[in-house]
Amino acid sequence: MISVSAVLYTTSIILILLGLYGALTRKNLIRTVISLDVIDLGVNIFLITIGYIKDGRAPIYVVGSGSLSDQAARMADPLPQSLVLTAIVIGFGVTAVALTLIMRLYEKRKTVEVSETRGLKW
Amino acid sequence: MVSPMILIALPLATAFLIVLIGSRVAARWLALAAVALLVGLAPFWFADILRNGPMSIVLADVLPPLGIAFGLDALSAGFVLLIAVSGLLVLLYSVPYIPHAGQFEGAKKAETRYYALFLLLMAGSFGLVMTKDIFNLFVFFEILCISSYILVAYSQEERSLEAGIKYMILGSIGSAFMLVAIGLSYRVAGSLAMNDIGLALAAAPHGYALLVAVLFTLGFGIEAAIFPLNTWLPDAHSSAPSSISAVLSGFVIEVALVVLVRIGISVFGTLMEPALGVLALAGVVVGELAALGQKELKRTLAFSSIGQVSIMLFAFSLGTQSGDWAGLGQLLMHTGAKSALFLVSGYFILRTGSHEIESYRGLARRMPAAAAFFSLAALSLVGMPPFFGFFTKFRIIEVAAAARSALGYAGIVVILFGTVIEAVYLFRIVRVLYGGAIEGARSDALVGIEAAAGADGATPFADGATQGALANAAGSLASAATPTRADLPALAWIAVAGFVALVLVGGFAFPWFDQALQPIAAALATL
Amino acid sequence: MRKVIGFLLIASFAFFIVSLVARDLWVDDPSQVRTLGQAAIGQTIPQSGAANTVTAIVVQFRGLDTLGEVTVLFLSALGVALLSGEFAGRGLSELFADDGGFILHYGTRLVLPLIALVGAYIVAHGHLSPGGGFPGGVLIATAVFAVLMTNAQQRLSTRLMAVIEGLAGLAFVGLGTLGLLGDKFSFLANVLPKGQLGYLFSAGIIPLIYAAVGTKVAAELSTLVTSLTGSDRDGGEDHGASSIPADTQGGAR
Repeated sequence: MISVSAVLYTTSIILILLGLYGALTRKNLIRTVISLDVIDLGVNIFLITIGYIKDGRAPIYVVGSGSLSDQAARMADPLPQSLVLTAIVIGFGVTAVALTLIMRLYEKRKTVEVSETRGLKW
Repeated sequence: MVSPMILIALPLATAFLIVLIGSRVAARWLALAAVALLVGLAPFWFADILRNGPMSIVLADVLPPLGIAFGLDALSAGFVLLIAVSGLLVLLYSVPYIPHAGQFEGAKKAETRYYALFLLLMAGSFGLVMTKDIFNLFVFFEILCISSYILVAYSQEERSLEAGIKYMILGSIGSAFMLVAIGLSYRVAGSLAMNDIGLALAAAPHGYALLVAVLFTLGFGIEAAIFPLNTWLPDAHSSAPSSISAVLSGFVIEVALVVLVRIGISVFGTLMEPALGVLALAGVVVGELAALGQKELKRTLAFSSIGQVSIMLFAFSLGTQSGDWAGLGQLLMHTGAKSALFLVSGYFILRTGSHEIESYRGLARRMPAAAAFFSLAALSLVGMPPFFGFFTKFRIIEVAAAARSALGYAGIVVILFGTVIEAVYLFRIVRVLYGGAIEGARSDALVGIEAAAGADGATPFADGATQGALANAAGSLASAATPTRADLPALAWIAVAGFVALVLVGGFAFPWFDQALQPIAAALATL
Repeated sequence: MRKVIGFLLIASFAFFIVSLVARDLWVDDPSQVRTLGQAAIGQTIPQSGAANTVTAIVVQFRGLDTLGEVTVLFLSALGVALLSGEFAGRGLSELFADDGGFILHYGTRLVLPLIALVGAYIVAHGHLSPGGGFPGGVLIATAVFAVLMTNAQQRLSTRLMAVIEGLAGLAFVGLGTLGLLGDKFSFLANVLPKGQLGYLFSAGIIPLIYAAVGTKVAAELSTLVTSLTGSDRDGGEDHGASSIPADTQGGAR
């Protein structure tokens, strides 16, 4: 029996590496930003997997469905979930600024290709 | 006593208020008032901590590790003081400078937003040095990074947009690595407080701890400009508005570096130190050599920042308290000298409309004060004897020799080599500033006399002007005479003078500064 | 060449990761929550009075992170507005230049109040059920987004949005400072009465903070969309149209 978290960890690492490959090799800046988002996605899956427990439930107390301590004993780890919430918002903020920068550069240059923008070679 | 939480709450609230009011004039005054208040409070916190020891702050009435471990110790209080003071000085410079920093649509609205962004950048830096929780560190790191991406691209010229994008792509990859490292740490430690993670990683399998350390260093090292991760720096620091270059080179990379070193020592043990030492030496060589080949003033200064930061990193990576002490001295010197250099070069660019060093020939004659400030800061950066830089570099070499390791001896050689190169390119700039006028004197005696009167201290470096420079002199003298674009009022010079004063006082009162740095160095190795 | 180098780099990185942590990661699923998660589950009700433990962590235990998170959003709205110069008549405005047809145009108006209502519900119940200020705020912003997309003449005042944003941000900091005034002397402390578990009016300052966050997120996202699409009422006159093509060609060469 393959463990659920092993599958999720593998998926997340593959996503991170795919995104990294894209970010390093793509010349189109829009694609680079998409690659960055793929990395972010992988990282978020990675973080949320850390909070996975076997047969866990959502970490929310429900009044009137069993004693609170019973509920507490079956909850998944809420901490990684809250970290992911923060990480998603931060990733969103970065993407918005990145796209605006690219749009602005496109206005000046009429291209979003790295190879045609001198300063962006690295 | 006011709670140090005001260091976070006040800049944030002021930034929100600036956007709410949406007026340029109000933005200036609010930002200046808020930062001035923090500058007024910072020494008291510092003094309080020296007297009573570290101050821990309980957030949300929840004790760590469940709550966020936060607090001031000697290191963070020292850095709070440094950030607040240089923030205030740069703000003073920004008020007259920023209206000239960008000609684009909506520049007036953008100026209002500049102050909000600047305050958020400061809040991010304050948070970074105060937090002892690894995820909170990430959040403040992001605030710092995103505000600097935006500020780098502020002028919205092609080169600054490019630099912003490049910085942002590398920065985002770095923060993804950091998040993975944070996840791995939480997985093994079950906690996000740095000291818990340190204990858990020490007990974890070696490979696991190594991966966490490497990922974290990769992530944070991008902002701290550690050698192979610093490709964004020359572009970003050179194409940002000069006030922002001064901030980025003046305290942002330093804060990132110190926080990285501190976490390296307290959380990862000695896992990364030897590698960082080698990378630091490579950074000195690469940074200084690259600076030598630059034609633009701000690019030269940016590459020089790579070299200087690497010198600090080398001192920190020696792993002794005296090494940390020496590194902090160098850091303080670099903040003063490099901020002054960038602010003055912003003025040069403003007046001449050119980034090229060659086009500044003979500027000293027209702007004696600016050239003098520039030369003083440059002399200190190189490490000329009566200045701050001499003592700090000397101290680092002393410490490296005392380490009695191969890395230490290699470090001495590399730092001396770097100093020679630094002297070559910085004196070349100083010579251009003064030299053009003196070359011109051969064709016009009157101008020469004026220049010699204005050149005072820097004349020794000017008399070695080469024949090649002679050929350029006449042409550049003509270009130097083009009408000036804009001038900066006295307010901006207060800022420059403040940074230069730090460098001068640091040299003449070195023992006193040294004394003040000692508790800070002691706090670096503890959490 | 670039691709080969990239591939080798990634492959070696993958090898590095797998060889270092594979044994640790590929183990059986844990049946026990980690220390801090356990503490959070245990402390949620006594310390915060919320039913949703994630909310208790996000808003109270790690409230400073959330303040930082809101600040990051604020930053990006600020940055987009600064860098776009509001893209008045430029940017993506071409895409927003038509009404999307009769059905979309009026259909949006029909569902608009419902979307906003659901958004407000999610914000208000953040301490009891999944959701909270961030998803709720985003939902409210999508209502704004839909209107902008299906109504070519519709404009939004970024000035008004900035005022709302600023006030909500000040409210968050102000609620945090409330904790400094009380006897607990702790930033972001939950000083208000906690009420009874499971009720709308419970969990002290948590719903208030989430309301501020929801308002702020909604205003910020609306500003973002407005700046990017050039639908700002306060923006400059129209300029020559130029926009990024929806599909940027190339790259796959």
